[in-house]
Order: sequence, then structure tokens, then C-alpha cells
Amino acid sequence: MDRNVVLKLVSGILPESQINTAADDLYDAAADRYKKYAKARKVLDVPMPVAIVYPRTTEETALLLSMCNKHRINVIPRAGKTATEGGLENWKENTLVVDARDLNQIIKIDEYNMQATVQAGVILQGLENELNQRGLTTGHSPQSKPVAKYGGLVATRSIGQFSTLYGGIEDMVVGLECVFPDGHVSRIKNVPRRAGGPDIRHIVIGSEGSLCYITEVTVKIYRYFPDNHTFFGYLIKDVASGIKVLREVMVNGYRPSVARVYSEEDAQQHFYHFNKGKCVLLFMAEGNKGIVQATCAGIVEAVEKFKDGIIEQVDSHLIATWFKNLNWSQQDIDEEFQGMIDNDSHAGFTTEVSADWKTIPTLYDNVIMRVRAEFPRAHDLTMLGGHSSHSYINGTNLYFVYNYAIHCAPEDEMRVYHHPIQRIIVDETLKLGGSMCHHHGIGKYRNEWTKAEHGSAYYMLEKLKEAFDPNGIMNFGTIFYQAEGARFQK
Amino acid sequence: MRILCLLKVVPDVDQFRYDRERNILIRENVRLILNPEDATAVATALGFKRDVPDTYIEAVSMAPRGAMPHLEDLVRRGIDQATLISDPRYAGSDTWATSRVLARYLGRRDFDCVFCGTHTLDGGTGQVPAQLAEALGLPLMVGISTLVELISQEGQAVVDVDGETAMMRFSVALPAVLGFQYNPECKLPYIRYEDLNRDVSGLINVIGNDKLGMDEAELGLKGSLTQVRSLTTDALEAKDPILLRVDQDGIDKVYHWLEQKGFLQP
Repeated sequence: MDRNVVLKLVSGILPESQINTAADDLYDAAADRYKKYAKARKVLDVPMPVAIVYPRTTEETALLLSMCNKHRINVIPRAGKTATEGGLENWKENTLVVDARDLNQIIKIDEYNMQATVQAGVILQGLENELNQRGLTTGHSPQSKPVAKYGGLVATRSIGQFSTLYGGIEDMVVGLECVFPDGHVSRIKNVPRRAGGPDIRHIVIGSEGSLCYITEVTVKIYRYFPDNHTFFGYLIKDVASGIKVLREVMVNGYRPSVARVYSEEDAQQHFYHFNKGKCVLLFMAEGNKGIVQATCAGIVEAVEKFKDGIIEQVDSHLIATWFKNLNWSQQDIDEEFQGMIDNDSHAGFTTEVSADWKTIPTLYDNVIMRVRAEFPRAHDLTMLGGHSSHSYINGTNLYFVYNYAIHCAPEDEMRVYHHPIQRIIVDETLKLGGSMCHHHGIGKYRNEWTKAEHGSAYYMLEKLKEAFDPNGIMNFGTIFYQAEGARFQK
Repeated sequence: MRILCLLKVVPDVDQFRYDRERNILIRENVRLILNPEDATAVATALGFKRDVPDTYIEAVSMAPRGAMPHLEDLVRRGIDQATLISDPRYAGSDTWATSRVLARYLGRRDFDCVFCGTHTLDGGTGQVPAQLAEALGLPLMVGISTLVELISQEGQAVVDVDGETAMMRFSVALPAVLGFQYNPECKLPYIRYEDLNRDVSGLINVIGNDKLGMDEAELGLKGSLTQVRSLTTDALEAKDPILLRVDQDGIDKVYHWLEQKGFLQP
């Protein structure tokens, strides 16, 4: 279908003011942060979408999706643009990016029932600011908080820095509204719990725009006690020592909002002013006074139990200061972008995985060893390490972080550097029985491992896709491997 | 136009680590890189070839076999041919012996000019271009910051040299030896992903002394006029970092430090 025909069809649904065909915006919309360097250097190898459209109501969204479904036009649902795994990347000539920019209302803050209802285009920081004024918090704090929006946060099954206390987005979502490709609008009502069949929220949460378009979300909200925030920091001998302490805290039932272990090189990035080249263990406790006191006691107890791995305690003020400056702002993103235009480098990549407690130290050591031994450009690495930042009673995540000097054409950067490293991390994780994608989503660039990730349960994912998106219009290539998209991956 | 590019593979000195206890530089496991000034010379030649596609470029290096991957990469970047002059008998050669070996090879080649770096990262004497030019009876210009023009019909190269007080422009009769200084703006083109493992063995010659036929008395340590008596390493002092906040006091301290060091005019 000719692009002009697509535009004509869209114009039959939305006014011109809600349709964007500006060349720079379409270029920006063709890829997300996964190909940030190629985008900055203007060498993207993917097609541009036909238009970016901004529905203002659920009804407009339904009309758009129905039209796309009828005419087999690819739809990329978009909100805060902070996706990191290619989930927003475009692989089809005829694509509409459906942006939640104008679905930006905080619909209701229900303090008595501790719920807030927002449209998909509401910025997380916006809701957080509103709640803080009332002594409340969302409890959700990914680094992208100042720019991320609720549609994307739910679609990617996101997690925040305080997850060890508040949980991930899946623990916060009460109900939601979404639109399916055939135009059907589903509202999942807001109840504290029910056993009304399988929990259908989880069809939507984490679907990465591959099944439906999220228009509205209701989330739990929490009392906020910033005056009770208490921080702990320690220099430790190695990652394994820190993992032991994390586990002890978790299995004893404590829930610090932050519990992290950093490897030496990763710690050097964040804590060069005090880490002395060592690994770092840190905690933050928050909540009402009684809970904070108990949590602090639990942390101290766990550290004492494994004191052989502890080198020294760090001034908690240093941890507090670092934490206040952790989140991205739009300015940080813009400055990184400009830096990529000016220099042969960028701020690096991450691959986040998860596994049980026993597996994690082995996984960490194996990955580091394999990358240094097998990656052909290991000499270009300027940083290789990782940290654990989200813990559970039965395990934790690992956030592998890697920076490198880029000594290749911008068009080749991903294939020369990021993909070989990611491949080692995913391969090792799956081999050891972990999950290759803790919280960033599969996107398009881990879709070749989706079947391996799910094993026999892939059948369930596949059937969902067949049922809800039989024409395959929802975010082609995300989650589900597509041979047609392989040319962009390899 | 036929350009011969001389190059040397040197240790990446940025990777040297300093052992404060023993006051030595740790050179083990340090990667070899193309000497930066030689890389500028090659990049300049490739830039010229982009504009004049029938230009022929040969890269020549006198080195152990370990330099081979670097020559292969240069061919993948667009060099027409690479020659590795390698022989165990050349080990220990100083600049004099090296220049004589290179001159023996170059004397057999047809070329319009020789490009090279002026200094090397590891030696830094700048003697090879001069000794080579002398041996070949060619004019020499070193410290070149920019190749302005290379005109084969007139047998002339026009170059800019960054003098201490002014930029100077010279015209050099070809054939000549042209020594370049490092220019970070003049970079070698990247090897494209699909070419990274391209087999270029057919475009690389390896020549030993059996082919060059030099008297062994002229080679290696025996043929070297310079004898290294000893090497010393400067002792490095560890300095405690000064931590500053991003506030007026911190800014004032940084400004005052820059003034003291002469980076800013008071």
C-alpha cells in the first residue's frame, strides 16, 4: 500500500493537528535507544514510519487500530520513548507510530483506596510529584522516571529502584484499559484481588505493544516517609560476598527499598570518589519509622553475619547524595545524544538478567570471563561489570554494564560490539537456567531467544498472539521472532 | 600516483601500567597499535586515493610476524598491497640498520613518494625518515600537518608544516620522503563489518633477507651504530585526589588552579 494511501486513511480518523509527518520526527521514531549511536550519527538502516499519530481518546485509538488491522498496517505503540531493546524500532514500510502524548490526564487520585488512575501518556514523575504533595508515592522509580510514561512502563513490565520494597509494575497495577487490534476495548476493573479465572492483567503487562494498546492504568499508591530514609554503604571483597548479604536480608523477610551490589568496574563509575577500586554493597530502608528501624537492624545483622566479606563501612551521606542524582532527565538524554554526534563513543549498554541465588555468582563470573576471552574487541572495552539491584526471596537480577571505545563505522557498531557481548550474556544465562530479560523487555533484539527463554511455555505466548493479533499488526518483530526482520539484527 | 607508506607497529603506551613499588613499567599483555603518525600518513594517502582512484598505495613495514594482522587490516581499509619485511636477523636493529634495510627494499620499487610518520610513539628519534631519504638520495620534509596537493604531472607535492611560530607551506620535488605529524582529524577509514574477516592474504608479501640479500654484518645489533646502555623509568608520584563540590567554592578552586598552571590568563 502506498504511504499516501495510509495517510489518507489516517486523515479520515484524526485531524491534521494529530498527525505528524515531519521528517526529523519520523527519523527519530524509526528507532529507540537501542540504536542510539546510529541514530545520532544519522546512519539508521530501518524504514521510517509513515506518520506519528496522537489519539486523544480511547475511541480514536480504537478507530486507528481497527483501520490498521483492516489494511494490515503495522502499529508501534509509543509513550515515553525510553525503550532500550528495540521495542520501538520500526521494521515495516507501512507503520503508524501511535503516541500517547495526548492521553496525558491524571484521571483520579483516590487516597482512601490508595489507587491512582492515569492515562497512558502521563509521565511517571508527573504523578509522583502530585502524590508527593499529598504525602504519597507511586513507589515506582526506574532511572527513566522523569520521562517515562505509564503506557510504556506497563507494556515493558518495568521495574524501579525501590522494587525490593514496592515490587515491580506488575505488583502495582490494579486495573487497566486497553484496545485490541480489532478495535475492542477491554477494561479490567479495579479490585484488590480476585480469583475470576486467570489474571488477565498479565496478558497486557509486559506485552510490549505486541498484543494491544494500553490507554489507561490504575496503580496502587503508598504512604511516603522521606524523612525516614536510611542508607548503608560498604566496600566489599567481591560480588559473591555482597550477594550473600543481599540473600540473608531477603530470606529473613526484610524489604529494604534498595539493595544493591556493584562489581569493581561498575562501582568505579558511580563511586570513584570513595570505592578505592572495590566492590560496593548498599542499602536504603524506607517506610514508617518502625519498619525502617526493623529493616536497618536486619541489614546490620546480615552484614555482621558475613563480615568476612566486608572491608569497611562507607559514610551513608555519600550513598544518599549519589542516590538523589541517579535518574535521567531529558537534558541528560539530550546531552548523551549530542556527545554521540561529537565523539566516537556513547554511554554504554546494559543487559539485564535474573537467576536464583545459587546461580547468580556463577553467572556473573562466567559472563565476565567469557566476554574477556571470547569477545574479539575486548581490548576496546573501557568498562565491563555489573550490579544486582532487584532482589526477591528466591533470587536477584544482574545488570551487566559495558562501555567501549567505538572503532568501527557507526552503522556497524551494534554488530561489532553490543551484539556479541549480549549474545554471551544471554547464552550463559539461559544455559544456567536464568531469565535473559529481567525488566527491559525482549524488544526486537532478544527475540531470537524468546523460544529458548520460555521453552514449552512459548506455546502460551504464541496462542495469545494468534488470538489477539491474528493479522500481526501490533509492533512487528517485538517479542516474536520474524525472519523478515533478521536483516536488521545480523 | 604511486605512494609507498612506511609504518611501524608499536606498543600502545596508554596501556602501560606503572608499578610504584618496583618503579617499572609493566608492558606485558600490552596491545600493539599502528604508530599514530604513520596512521596519519596512511590515512592521508587513502584520502588522496578517494579523490584520485587510480592511485596505487603500498604499505611497507619492517617488523616481526606479529605485525601481520595490522597489515591485513590496512588492506581491508583500502591499501592496494602490503609488504612485511621480516627476518629474525633484523632483530635489534637501530634506526640506522632499519633505514638501510628499508632503503634496500624501496630502492627496488617504483614510486612517486614515500609517506611515513615523523616520530614513533616508542622511539621518538625521528631518524628513520632522514636516514632513509639520505640513503635513497631523495628530498625530505617532516612535521607535515597537511598534504595540500600531490601533482604527479609536475612531480611536486605541496605541504603545510606547522612551525613553532607560523604555518609554513612548502613545495617538494617528487619523488620525496614526506613525514607526517599526528593529526587526530585525519583518521583511517573503518573496516566495514562484512570485510572484517575478508581473506587478503593474496595482497600481502612477506620478504626476508634471503630476498633482500643484505650482508649480515649490516643487520640487527651487529649492524647498529647505536647501542643502548641502560633504560630508566621516571619515578611517578602518587597524588591524593582533591574532591570538590559543584558549588562556588569548588569552581573558585578549579579556576585558581588553572590560573596557577598557566592555562588561564589572570
